[in-house]
Amino acid sequence: MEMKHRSFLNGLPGVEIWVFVHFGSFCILPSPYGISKVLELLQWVADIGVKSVCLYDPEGVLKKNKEPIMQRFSSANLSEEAAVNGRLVTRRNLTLEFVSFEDGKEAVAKAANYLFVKHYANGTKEKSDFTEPQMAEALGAIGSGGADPDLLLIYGPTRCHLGFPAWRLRYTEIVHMGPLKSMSYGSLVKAIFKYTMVHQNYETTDALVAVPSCGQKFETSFHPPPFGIKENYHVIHLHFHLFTLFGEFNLMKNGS
Amino acid sequence: MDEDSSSISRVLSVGPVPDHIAFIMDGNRRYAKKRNLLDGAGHRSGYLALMNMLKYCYELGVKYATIYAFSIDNFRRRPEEVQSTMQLILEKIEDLIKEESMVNQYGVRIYFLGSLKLLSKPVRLAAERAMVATSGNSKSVLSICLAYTSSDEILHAVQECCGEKWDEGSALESKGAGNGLVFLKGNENGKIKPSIVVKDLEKHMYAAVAPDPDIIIRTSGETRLSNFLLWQSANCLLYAPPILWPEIGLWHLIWAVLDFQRNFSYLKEKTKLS
Repeated sequence: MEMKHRSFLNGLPGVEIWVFVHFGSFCILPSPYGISKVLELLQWVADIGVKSVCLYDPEGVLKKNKEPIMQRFSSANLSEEAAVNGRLVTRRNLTLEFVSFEDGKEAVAKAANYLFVKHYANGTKEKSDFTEPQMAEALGAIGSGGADPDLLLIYGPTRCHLGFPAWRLRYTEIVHMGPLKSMSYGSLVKAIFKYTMVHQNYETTDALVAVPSCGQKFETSFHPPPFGIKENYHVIHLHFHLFTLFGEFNLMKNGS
Repeated sequence: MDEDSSSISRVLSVGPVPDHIAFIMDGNRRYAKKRNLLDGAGHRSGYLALMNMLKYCYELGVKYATIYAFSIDNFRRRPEEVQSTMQLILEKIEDLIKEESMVNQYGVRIYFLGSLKLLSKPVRLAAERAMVATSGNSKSVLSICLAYTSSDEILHAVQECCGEKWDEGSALESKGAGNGLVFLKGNENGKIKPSIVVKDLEKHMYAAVAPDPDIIIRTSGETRLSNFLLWQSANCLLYAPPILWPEIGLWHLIWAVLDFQRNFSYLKEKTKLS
């Protein structure tokens, strides 16, 4: 069986999938072998048409050793804003983000301090409870914001998210891909394909949907789409077309 | 537990036994549809499955169990479904605190975790009664997440920490010992020493009544955590068997425990690093 088209997401305007690639066993890297595997994986991800990738390892090894990755996917037009926020737009229009354990609980503690200073600094205690948008804004202000990932691919010995920022994991599909050394293109494609097949159990529509890339997610397996999601139905229909495209292709077995 | 199950339990006990297992009981409604059952029957079957799983856990030596009974997101369901689910929850809470229930048999202390103020008064009062009635039990713990999401839990912890720091600062101010915490009135800038750390937040988490889970089991093959124990699950094995919740049985628990034992060293090392 052959893969007829690799970049099957190309040419679909508005389609944006965020894939967070999570390396559970990255503490044994970096080594030339390890970094080359990461580069290969990112190349596959970019070929598939994924727009944004976040690389997570608990110890922050990738964050400290991102130069070879950025050199490979470097962009001449790196904006200051992107650099400040820790997200780097590459030549292939692939947004990269590097996250580690300190961006999880520690970041929430920093956000709590931010909220304390902002809402209690005038010497009066505000009576209303903090809201999720306020928390999201606080996390963004301290440099740990960002949209929730649609899909978290775990490359490691076990299915465990190892402290990925809790605030961003609420409705993320978490898939265990096995050890990094055994990674395969076919498995990656299969995981993304399976994600697009996730039936979100809407009660009012039978469309296959993906979560719109509006930075807000809803737990749709429990309830009908709330009002806020109606304006994003066009994204839902595009993903439905994506499902159709997948149906035309024969995926390579045990990809290579 | 029958003899065979006891034997299996003894074999498993040779290796490390998880201290805390959490369950996302997904698939009750699909089970009812699959079996052409009446509305609500899926949840009742799910309750029976839950009682069995809890018994297996406590027999195995798992001290803490947490279940995701009702998410804050679930309030967005059809009102009649929310109403009937709440009625069932009320009924089952009352069953749990009866003399002859599993709870007393295994010495289980019950906690309800979540924003309980969102619940109707009868359910909230029943939950409070259950917590009081079982407060003397100490062999095992059952945490029931009701009107819960992790994001609400984190927000609550942040709110409590801010309130606590404010109270500390105010107390110091009133004694005349500002110690760096100065609240100036009007439009002047205050010098406030930010001092909330992770330990402060963890103290105020709803789930602080139990250690972090070792395994989270979500049925129906769904791979999401759906805003459940996200803060507590950093080094937790996530197991997603492709069966509906009422279909879960001892063998699934055994598989989960074996997987936990296989990965024990790795997860323990990760816990130390974090």
